[in-house]
Amino acid sequence: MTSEIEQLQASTLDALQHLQDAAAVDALEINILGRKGKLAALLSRIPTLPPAERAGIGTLASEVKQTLQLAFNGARGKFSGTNDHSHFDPTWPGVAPSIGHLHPVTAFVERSVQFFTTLGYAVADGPEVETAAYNFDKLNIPANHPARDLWDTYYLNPERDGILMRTHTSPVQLRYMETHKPPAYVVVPGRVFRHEATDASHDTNFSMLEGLAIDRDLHITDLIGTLKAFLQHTFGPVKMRIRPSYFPFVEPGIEVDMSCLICHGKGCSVCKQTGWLEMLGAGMVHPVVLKNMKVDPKKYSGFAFGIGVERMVMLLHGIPEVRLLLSGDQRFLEQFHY
Amino acid sequence: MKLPLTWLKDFVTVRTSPEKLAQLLTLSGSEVEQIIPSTALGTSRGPEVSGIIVGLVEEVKQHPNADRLKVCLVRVLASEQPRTIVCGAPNVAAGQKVPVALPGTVLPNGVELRAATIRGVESSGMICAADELALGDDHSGIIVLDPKAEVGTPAAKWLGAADITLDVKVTPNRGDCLSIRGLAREVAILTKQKLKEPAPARHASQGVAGGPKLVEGKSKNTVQVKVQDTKSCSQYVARLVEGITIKSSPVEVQERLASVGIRPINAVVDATNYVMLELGQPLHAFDADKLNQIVVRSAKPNEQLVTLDGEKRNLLTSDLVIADKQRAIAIAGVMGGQDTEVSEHTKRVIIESARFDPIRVRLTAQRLHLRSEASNRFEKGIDPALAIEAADRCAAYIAAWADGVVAKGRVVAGKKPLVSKVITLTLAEVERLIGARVPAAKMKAMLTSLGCKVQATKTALRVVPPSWRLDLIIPADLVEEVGRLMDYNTLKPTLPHIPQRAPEQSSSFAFTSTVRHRLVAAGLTETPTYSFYSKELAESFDLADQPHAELANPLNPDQALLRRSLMPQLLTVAGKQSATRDSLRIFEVGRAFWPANRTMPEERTMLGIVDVRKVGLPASASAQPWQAGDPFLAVKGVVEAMCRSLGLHDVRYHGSTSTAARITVGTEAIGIIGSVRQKYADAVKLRKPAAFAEIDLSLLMEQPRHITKAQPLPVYPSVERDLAFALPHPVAHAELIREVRGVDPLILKVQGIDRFSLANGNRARLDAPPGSRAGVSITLRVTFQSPGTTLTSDDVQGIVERIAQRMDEAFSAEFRR
Repeated sequence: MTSEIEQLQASTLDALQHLQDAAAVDALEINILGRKGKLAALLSRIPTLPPAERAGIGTLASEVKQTLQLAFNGARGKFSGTNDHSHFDPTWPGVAPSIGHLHPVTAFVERSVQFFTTLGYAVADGPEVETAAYNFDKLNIPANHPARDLWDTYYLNPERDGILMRTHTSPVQLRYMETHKPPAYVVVPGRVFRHEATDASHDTNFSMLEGLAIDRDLHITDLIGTLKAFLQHTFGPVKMRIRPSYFPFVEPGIEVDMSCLICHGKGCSVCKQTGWLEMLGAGMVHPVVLKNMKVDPKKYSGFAFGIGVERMVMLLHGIPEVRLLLSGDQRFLEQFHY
Repeated sequence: MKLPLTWLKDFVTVRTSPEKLAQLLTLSGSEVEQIIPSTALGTSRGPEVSGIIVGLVEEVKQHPNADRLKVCLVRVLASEQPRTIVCGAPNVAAGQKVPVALPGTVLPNGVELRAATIRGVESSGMICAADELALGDDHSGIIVLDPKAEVGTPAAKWLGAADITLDVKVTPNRGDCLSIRGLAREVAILTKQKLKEPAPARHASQGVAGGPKLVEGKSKNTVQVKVQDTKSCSQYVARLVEGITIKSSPVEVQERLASVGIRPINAVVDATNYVMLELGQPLHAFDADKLNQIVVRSAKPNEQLVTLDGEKRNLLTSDLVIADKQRAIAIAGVMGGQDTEVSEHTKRVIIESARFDPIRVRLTAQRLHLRSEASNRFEKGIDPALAIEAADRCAAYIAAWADGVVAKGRVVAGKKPLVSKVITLTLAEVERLIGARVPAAKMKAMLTSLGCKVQATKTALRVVPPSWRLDLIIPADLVEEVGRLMDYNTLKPTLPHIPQRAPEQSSSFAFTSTVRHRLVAAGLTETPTYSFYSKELAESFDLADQPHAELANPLNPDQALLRRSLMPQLLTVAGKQSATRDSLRIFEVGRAFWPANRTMPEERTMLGIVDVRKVGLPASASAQPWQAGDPFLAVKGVVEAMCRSLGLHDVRYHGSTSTAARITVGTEAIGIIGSVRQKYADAVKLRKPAAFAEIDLSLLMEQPRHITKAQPLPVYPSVERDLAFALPHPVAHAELIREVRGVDPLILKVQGIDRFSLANGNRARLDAPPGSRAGVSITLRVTFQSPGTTLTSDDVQGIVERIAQRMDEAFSAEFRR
């Protein structure tokens, strides 16, 4: 009986070598190890054996069973890597790799900066705490001028020193021009601050992306063309509308509207029924500002623009509440897959 | 600036629809923010007003049995006798054209109107208020229609057109547009209409809305005016009106004032406001019997004045005041004094029409928190040609509305108004800035339409701007006028030809961008927070005694300080959400502010990382079980990976406290890393194990970055052995590695892969109770490799024995075979 069991093991292992697929392995397994298989048949004869032989057979049989089981599993494994598609289900969720989330404002700024650097703009950076000289005076916004009311400002203690949280990134443009000569093309992304009550579309800390170009014979058409390219790059084939406006550091000054993303110009609550969305302010750099940059306004002209990043991000993603952006709420931030 | 279209029509013929007008104004720079049906002030449009007809109020009498009610005779059809209608509105007056609902009309609320007897008087119809016609929720009075409305015709037509107000956003440079006439000038230019001189009074007796004729009486204007500071008051015009009776101004005047947000007070005060709105010149009226002369001077030290609002104001010498011989009687351009206020007993008034220094008015108004319609206009500059016209007009209105007589002559003090300077605008400059050639004749026509006097030559225009355009100073200002009148949208967009230049090397933007992307790839979520925090928060993180930059005008206590670390807020954010999440892995790149001795604080771009995870949550799929739930090792892993990817060499971690370590790159300390102490975790209600790192990216950016040199691939296979040791005391990983590596040059790499305490014979977590200093089991994975041969099992075994020996000597470690 011992030899019969050993022979069954040898022949089964041999047979396993020649099988071509997992189904044949399954069939052979049932034939050998199944409840009515060959091993079971052999073992059913144990009661007929003399008691002395029985113990040894039992041990041997369980060893053989274990060996064969491993062999069957191994043989099945050999096929499952290539042929066994019985569990294929493309609707089952993939195993998520551990990837975090870039903030949507960062993603927008990076994309925009990339647009401008591709055109040949440099990127500059500067302090978030500024002097009134850089934030206002040199930008043709003199002290006690009503135009200062356009910027609600946080001041630092002691207040008399005129140190403040920058209300725009324009001071960086002035600083950039202290170390560069025209032609100059530069964009300045960064955090800015406004001292005003917050609501769904205004926060005290937000981001701007400003641009400055100074060169010979720059026209307002160059500014319009640049901004049109930028808006279409960012939002797709939108229409653009130019309105005259006033900012002390530009003359002429313009504001740029974009056809409403929601109603496509028909009028809805997002665009206050006008069909247009106010997007950004811009203009031709004021000669006084050029002089403050040590640029001769007779030789050079320039344009500048200022993009309120959060507003664009909100439009792009349909975010109803600006304060979500700095709330730190992961349920919000994890929605964006940048 | 609110612009009621009916009022606008006093100054210019309007044939365009309100929507079109709004668009024209918007595209020319005076943005219309809202089109308001004025009775409805911002509510629904499209009135349900069928069946309502125009009636003329012929007579108004008091109701015999009710104080609040009036009995009106209203003509609704020429063929019919006037109807008797009982009306409770305070503003009903004879001569008005009004919307009338007749019995049988179904009102918008679904109720059918019936004739009724009201307190004994039969009323056959109703004069309607805005809410009754579903034009809004205003029930303060009946709607008064345009006087041109034809009696008996449907009122709908007049309700629509009569009631529209444009809300115009006037930019700070266009003070001239802070008046009905100023905006009418713009409308006239845009719609190619002529500006009207104000029409004669519609209601001769009342002088409403027209240009009432100034009729002077016999008595002379004897007001004495002295301007001591002609620099701060370039002109002061005084008119005297005598014999007045203080009463209400005409209803239509009151309505117009109310429609632009100014409360009607009495005929005199209303006249000053009315002319200010019409022409843009702020005016003030004094009770002439309560002062003896007018002096314009700076306030004296410690001078005080009780203003119209009853507040006692402490004046500074920088304030400009109007005074008489004894005392200040008004703050110039800001607010009048209570002593000389026009009261119900006033018989004679002095009208002040002056130009004050914009900056002084602004500073005083700001300091006293008294910014008003008047101060706003002074700040933005007043047409220097306006003072006399406005004074005369106001005097005429007061005479008409308060039954007064204008005294003969006006008193004018101060300098002569400056004449506008000539601006030379070359065609080349226009083309340079606009990018298109504009013919000289076209430009001349445009600028002339603005009121400029223009002489054109072949290459340039000599332009004298009108007196009211104080904003036109340099050629670029005129270029803007040309641009806005030709409409920028007609220009063909172009792109500049940007010259090629080598990009600048050190860009902090690129560096922080790389850092951000590495961290996102490592599974962290960028979580920016505000740049300010409260004193309390600084205190709970033991930062309060460190120097902070402070905001002078925080909006709330959370904005008291400029952050000097990102950690308090990042941990606050983590604390808020830690209860509902298994893990939180966040970072922020942002500025921290360190006050230095300089006036401006030093700014550092910091990276903050926080990792929170519930006990047992693995750091990553590849983490060993013993690393599970250790946020410190998770943060450290992220920092290590980031530093590697930035090409930083020699990054070290120096345990400085029991929970935190300094990070150095070379000799530079670039940040700290550690486990969040219980105290700080409690401060932000962080209930799970947490770790943090804060790194100065401004410093990191300056560190030398190494470019990876490729290593030759190994020719011979390496061999790995995991060696376990029992140590009597914990030993720093770095020390173990140093010892083992020193054993043989064939040892390629040594790394700890497991550790546990032998304290209770259990695999207790080592790092949990820092007090337990019993035995420790450490497993090191040692990699052996030879550059010249394949190592045999015996080769390796020999080295392993020597490692065991060294470990024994150095640390009394027992090799667990």
